[in-house]
Amino acid sequence: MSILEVNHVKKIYTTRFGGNKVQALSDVNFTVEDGEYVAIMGESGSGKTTLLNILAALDRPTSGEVLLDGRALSSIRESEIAAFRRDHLGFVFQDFNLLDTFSLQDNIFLPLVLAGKSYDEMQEKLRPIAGKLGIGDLLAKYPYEVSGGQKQRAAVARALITKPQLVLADEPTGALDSRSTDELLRLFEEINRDGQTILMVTHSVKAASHAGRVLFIKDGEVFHQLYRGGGTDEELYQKISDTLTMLATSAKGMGGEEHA
Amino acid sequence: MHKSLLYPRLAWNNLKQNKRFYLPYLLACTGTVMMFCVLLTLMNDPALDKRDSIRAMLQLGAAVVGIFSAVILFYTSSVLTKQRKREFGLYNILGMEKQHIGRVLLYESIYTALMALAGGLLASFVFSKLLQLILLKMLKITADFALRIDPAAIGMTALLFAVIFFLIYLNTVRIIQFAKPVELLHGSSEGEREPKSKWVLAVLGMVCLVTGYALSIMTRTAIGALSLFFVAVLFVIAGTYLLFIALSIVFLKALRRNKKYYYKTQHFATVSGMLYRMKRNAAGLASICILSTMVLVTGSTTVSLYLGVNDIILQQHPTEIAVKYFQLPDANRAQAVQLVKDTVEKQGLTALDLHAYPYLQFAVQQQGDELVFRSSTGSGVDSTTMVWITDPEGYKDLTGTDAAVQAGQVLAWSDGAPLGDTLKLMGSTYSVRQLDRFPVSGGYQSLNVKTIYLVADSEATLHEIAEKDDYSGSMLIYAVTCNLDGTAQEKVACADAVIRELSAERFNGYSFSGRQADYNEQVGLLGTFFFIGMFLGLLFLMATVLIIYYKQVSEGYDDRKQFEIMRKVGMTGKEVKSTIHSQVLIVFFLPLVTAAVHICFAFPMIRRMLMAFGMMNVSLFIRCTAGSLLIFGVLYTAVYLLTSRTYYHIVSDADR
Repeated sequence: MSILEVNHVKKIYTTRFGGNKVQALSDVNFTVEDGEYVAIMGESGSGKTTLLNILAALDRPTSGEVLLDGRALSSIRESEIAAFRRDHLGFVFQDFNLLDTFSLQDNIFLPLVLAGKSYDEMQEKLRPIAGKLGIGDLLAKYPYEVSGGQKQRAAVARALITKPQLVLADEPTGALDSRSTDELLRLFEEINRDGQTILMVTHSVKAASHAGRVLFIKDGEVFHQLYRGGGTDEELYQKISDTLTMLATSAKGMGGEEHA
Repeated sequence: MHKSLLYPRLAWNNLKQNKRFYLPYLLACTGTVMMFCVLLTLMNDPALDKRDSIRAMLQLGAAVVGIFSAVILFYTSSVLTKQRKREFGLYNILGMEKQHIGRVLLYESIYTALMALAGGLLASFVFSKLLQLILLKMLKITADFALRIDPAAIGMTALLFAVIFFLIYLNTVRIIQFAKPVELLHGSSEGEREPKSKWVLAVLGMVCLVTGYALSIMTRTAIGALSLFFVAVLFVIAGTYLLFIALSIVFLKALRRNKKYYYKTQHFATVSGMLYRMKRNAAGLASICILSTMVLVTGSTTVSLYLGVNDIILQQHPTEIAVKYFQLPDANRAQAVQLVKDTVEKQGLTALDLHAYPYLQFAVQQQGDELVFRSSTGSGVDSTTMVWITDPEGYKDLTGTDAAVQAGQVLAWSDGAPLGDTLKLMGSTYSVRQLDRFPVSGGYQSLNVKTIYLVADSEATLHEIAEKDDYSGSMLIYAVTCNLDGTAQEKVACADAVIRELSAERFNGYSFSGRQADYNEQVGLLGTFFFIGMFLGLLFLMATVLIIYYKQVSEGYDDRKQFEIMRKVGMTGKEVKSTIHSQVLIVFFLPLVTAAVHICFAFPMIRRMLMAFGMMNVSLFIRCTAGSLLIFGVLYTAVYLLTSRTYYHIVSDADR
């Protein structure tokens, strides 16, 4: 069953005073199955961020549609969209986006508080997640008191606590050192193994090599995709590197497992 | 670009780039220059020749305006510099040395000084005529309408503000000099610690505030109010700062500990946001509160004194002319009355309600039915009562009715508590016959001192009492009082003539009081007081506006990031707006509400102080206080609305 369907999504930005039009996405098509772990790769300016914003319902496509669990995002009214995002999507950002005015615990509670849950219920949901992410002892601390890796783990906890259908991660390892990166990627795998669908946008070959499938975006289209198959992280890493090299050297004409 | 032009151009561009911060500062500079120069110009106005007291007050006013201007400009410029730390850091990293930055700053200061002085002096030239007309009208002085440029005032203003701007420049260089480039670059985004609960300070603040309020409420006399007002003010200022800084945090943390309350959509972000907001802004908000209170106190008191001048004068001078002769031989009494009457008539006026009567006046302490001289107990002024005694003849002259007082009896009336059936004074006991009013006033109400008015059986009794009073050495006074017809000028001329005649006749001792001359003097002083009050009020208002504006702008930049994150995490734009809106609302109206509370508690004390000036009209003071609160509230709200537009503009830049 596919949890996310992206059909012919196109996005054109018009500069403020009319005139120049910039095509960020030309025709994006792909689907994500329930329980999948998908990485999207692409160079700066390839339209990754635009795509993610559209998937997150922060932005609307010029044409085409996005279905989450069979429901078109465009059918959701503006007034419900924030609640929809809160209930169905979890977000992990490059720069964590934790609020400095809240302790880690309160940061994690934020979506639940907004959803009007009781304190006891929130506590109950937090306990297993905090244990799994290894931040049980840090909950009373403030974001400025903990390391980047710990911040990101708190942010992951915040994304997971609502039990979202899809976790969207935007360069989650971008601001982390290599040790924290490894830890986070291991966590993502673990979470994915428990059945959580993850869609991650990244620059990092290493991050992408932990995913089950890698999509490459170029010039506003899904240009190519790689499946892990039964291979190891290292094999996938090698394949991604090769693909990126070929992407950089030849504009078109890739062979292999092209599905786009 | 020519090298020598680099710094001036860079400086100019900086000012243009930082318009949002810089323009209010420039306006404040211009405004203070104008105010100072206008006061100096007015002070040197030829129409005020011979009115030295008014000049002295204007001079004092100018000094106060000068000092406050310096403080306000210093504060504003340091806020400005802190906001620009990043920019300076960037220059530093791009290879500009600090001395080069110093040179850019010097050009900026020079531009600021030139623009402020040019604008301010021009504005003062335009407005000084208008303000001169207002002042002279208020002081009831007629003068010619010549447009006047005062080189001395301009020179003095230019000198003072050149010095202020130079000091501000040095201070800015100092701030930049002591900062490392990296610090400069991160200047406005230092990581913030969670504020700590400071229980001791919170309790101390509460104690200070309650003490200040209690002083105001418990002080019963005008003299007490005058001497304790400053102390009460200090307590309230300290209390305000401590409360804003400490109690606010303690209170918010208590809210946060209440899990049921805290983890609710509408409270969650507001409470935690307010914690940080109060940490950042407590001192600034307390300053706004104090300044607002100052504006309100200055406004309400000076307006009510000025509008109440007629009451004050009537209080101090029940009659137009009053001559009091000390130890006047009985034989000379007719002559003393005649002197006043003749002089008035010689001036072409009529002496209306002419009265002449002997009386004694002294201070005692009332202990039940006994009146004791103060020395015997030696306590303070609080329980003092005045005694005013005349004889039946004097009473008849004043009222036209025969008193018929028997020996050992007194007619009595008190403006305090009613008297008993007997009264003991100087060892003699008198039986009391109550009167229901009395035709003269001792004039002690303004000090909140009660007076007992008596009519003794004969003048001999008065002499007897005077001899027994070896404490205050009171002596028999023979008073001649009358009112006058005619214009204000004629009245003053007539009073002068009476004074001349009195000194020519060589009476043993006398005192003279003329209502009109004193009225002119008082209107002059209270008018000037009012005028300077308006100026200071305006200055404080400007400071308040500036602080509010800079708070809004810097808050805006701080909140931008928060706003963005909250949206990404799933708050609707509406929720975010309402959260931020309620915080901003609390932050900006907290000082106003606190100032209003301060004013309410200050009211009893200020009322008593105004009594010392003879201003007894409480309802006028209430109206003036309410009026200034209303006007200030409206202005404050207007400022808030204007600046919050800038705020939302900044915040929603991130809301694309």
